[in-house]
Amino acid sequence: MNRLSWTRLKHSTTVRFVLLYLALSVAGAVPVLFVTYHQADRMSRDHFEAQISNRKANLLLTHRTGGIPAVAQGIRDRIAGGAAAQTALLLIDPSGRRIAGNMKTWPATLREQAGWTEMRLYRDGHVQPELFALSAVHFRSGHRLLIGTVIDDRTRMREALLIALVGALILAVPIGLAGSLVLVRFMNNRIGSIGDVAARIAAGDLSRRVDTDGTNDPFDRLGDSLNAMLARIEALVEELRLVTDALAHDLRSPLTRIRASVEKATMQPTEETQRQAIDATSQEIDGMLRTIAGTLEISRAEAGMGRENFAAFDLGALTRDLCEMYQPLAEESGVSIAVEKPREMTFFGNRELIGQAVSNLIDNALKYGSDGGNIRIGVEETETSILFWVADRGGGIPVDRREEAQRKYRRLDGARATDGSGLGLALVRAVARLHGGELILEDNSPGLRAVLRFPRPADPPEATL
Amino acid sequence: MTKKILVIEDDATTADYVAKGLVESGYVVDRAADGREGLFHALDGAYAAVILDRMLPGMDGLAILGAIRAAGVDTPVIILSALGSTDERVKGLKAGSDDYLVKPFAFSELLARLEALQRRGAANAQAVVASLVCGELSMDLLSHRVERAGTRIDLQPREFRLLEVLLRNQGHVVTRTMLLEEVWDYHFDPGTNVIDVHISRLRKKIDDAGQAPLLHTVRGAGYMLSEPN
Repeated sequence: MNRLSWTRLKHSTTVRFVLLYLALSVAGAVPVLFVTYHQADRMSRDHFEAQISNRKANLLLTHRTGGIPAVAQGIRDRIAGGAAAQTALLLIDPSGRRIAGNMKTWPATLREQAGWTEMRLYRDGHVQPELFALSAVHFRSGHRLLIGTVIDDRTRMREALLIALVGALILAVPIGLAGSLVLVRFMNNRIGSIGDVAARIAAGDLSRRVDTDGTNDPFDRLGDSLNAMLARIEALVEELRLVTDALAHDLRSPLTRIRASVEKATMQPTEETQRQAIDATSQEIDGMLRTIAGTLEISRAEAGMGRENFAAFDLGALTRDLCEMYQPLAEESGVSIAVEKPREMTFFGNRELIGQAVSNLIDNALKYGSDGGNIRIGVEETETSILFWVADRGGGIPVDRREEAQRKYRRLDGARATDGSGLGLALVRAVARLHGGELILEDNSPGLRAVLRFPRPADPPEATL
Repeated sequence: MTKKILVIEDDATTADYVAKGLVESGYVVDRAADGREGLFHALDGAYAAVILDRMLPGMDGLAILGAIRAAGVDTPVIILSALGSTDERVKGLKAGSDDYLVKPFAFSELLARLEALQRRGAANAQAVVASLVCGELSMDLLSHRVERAGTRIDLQPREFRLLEVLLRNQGHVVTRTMLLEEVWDYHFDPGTNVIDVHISRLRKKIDDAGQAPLLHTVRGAGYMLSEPN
């Protein structure tokens, strides 16, 4: 394996996961083995201790009844009887000479003490030193007694335990590896199936969905969110297709008219009629540009763009301003237009877009509701929302057509006669949604009441006394 | 002295259209087809105004604008852009441009804005004026009094502001969108002929029957206030 591929491998999630799992399983095995080792070691040590203290007690009892000679005899008996195969025994007189035992000399460093010590000693007839657990007794007469037990067994057991420990560790590696591979494979399968769906989606099959099992575990939730996202994407693509179709259709008719009027202009006999025909063409082009601008503005609002220019402004003042702006136009059509109970109302949003929406609503009321002779505009505040409304006394929109009226390029039958792009209410709705609000078309009996409802910001209400 | 305008625009058709119109209006035009060259010329500082396309090869229009302003050159800059949303406009103005015009545009609109920019620059250099006069029409900016041939004319606040903008630009075309921006501070399209109706009301008040008209409609461009000659 060359270095480059190892570097890449090192960063692979699968490899990382396998290594992590391995490390965890080893880390889990070590303490267990460690405890086992210590426990077994202590048990064997307790066993030696019991042996030594037992022998010591016996010999001390012998000393009490028969003095040193009895002890010496006891030692000799034990050695002769073969009971001392695993034992070291030595009794010396005050001058250090051996009285009885299976060792030559007293170890120089051995002193009387509680418990026992470990020491390597030569016994009679043994070429190799052996490891003993030793205990010494000093009698009042100056004689000294040494009692010991071979602890080679314990050493061997320690070695066996160590081998077991290392063996377990060596086994833990392949077992951990295998376990982690199984786990990783399971995870990779689940993630892989999600990836497959994503690949199909990327290839153009937007109807594919991730399988979910309803367990609500993280994988399931991931699948659910992906499915929700995919549904949204599919809806957007469908929307885009509809818009493109509608836009193509909507641009084709003005383009046809432009083409016709250009041809007409070239055939005009006088300069004056030619100029008029060209003016008409310019107007058609302007209308088309407005349609494109409107469509783009709606798309931007629907995509959530424009929030970066949100700021606080006085919605009441904006409303009064726009009402005043449309006043002369309304008067020309014989309509009275007024703001009901003008007030200040701080609003957080995009002033230009809200202004556009408000002016679209007033414009619509003037276009389609002016036969009622009266247009009222208002701004209100309730516990939970901020409301802006424009109400006319005209023909209104029947309940079953209200949704249609808010869609792009949909112009209700009566409206087709007047000029307009069919984008007005669609833009209003998009702007309302951008601000977290909604557009509601209500019956003003008679007439139409278009309401923009925005949620009130969640700041604490000012204290009123 | 003829004024020099720098046009930084990579689209040859648009550049020709703008340059031809400017030359016909009496300007001298320098052209740059890419960002770096444009920036190089602009830093010269000897221009009356710069017309800057937003999307250019080599360098983004806003980056050039930033570099010009960073170098301390305060030549008026008008941005031309196909990006027409209000947000993009705000971005352009924040970046230090003096005006922002969306493509496609009428040349008359560009010219009107270009001239208005230069007058604004000249007016800033002068002392504050207390009154504006055009022929028989006079406006006292302090007492908000408007008179024509000695007769007082009552104007609504918005009508007053509308007339003020026209007076400050007298002799020059002011377009509908310029009025919408200057008088109402809106950058969106209010749709129907809202501005036209306001103008016709103002006209009724200042141009009485029998008097020579001061407020003229310029076909395909906008409005102009000028002395009868």
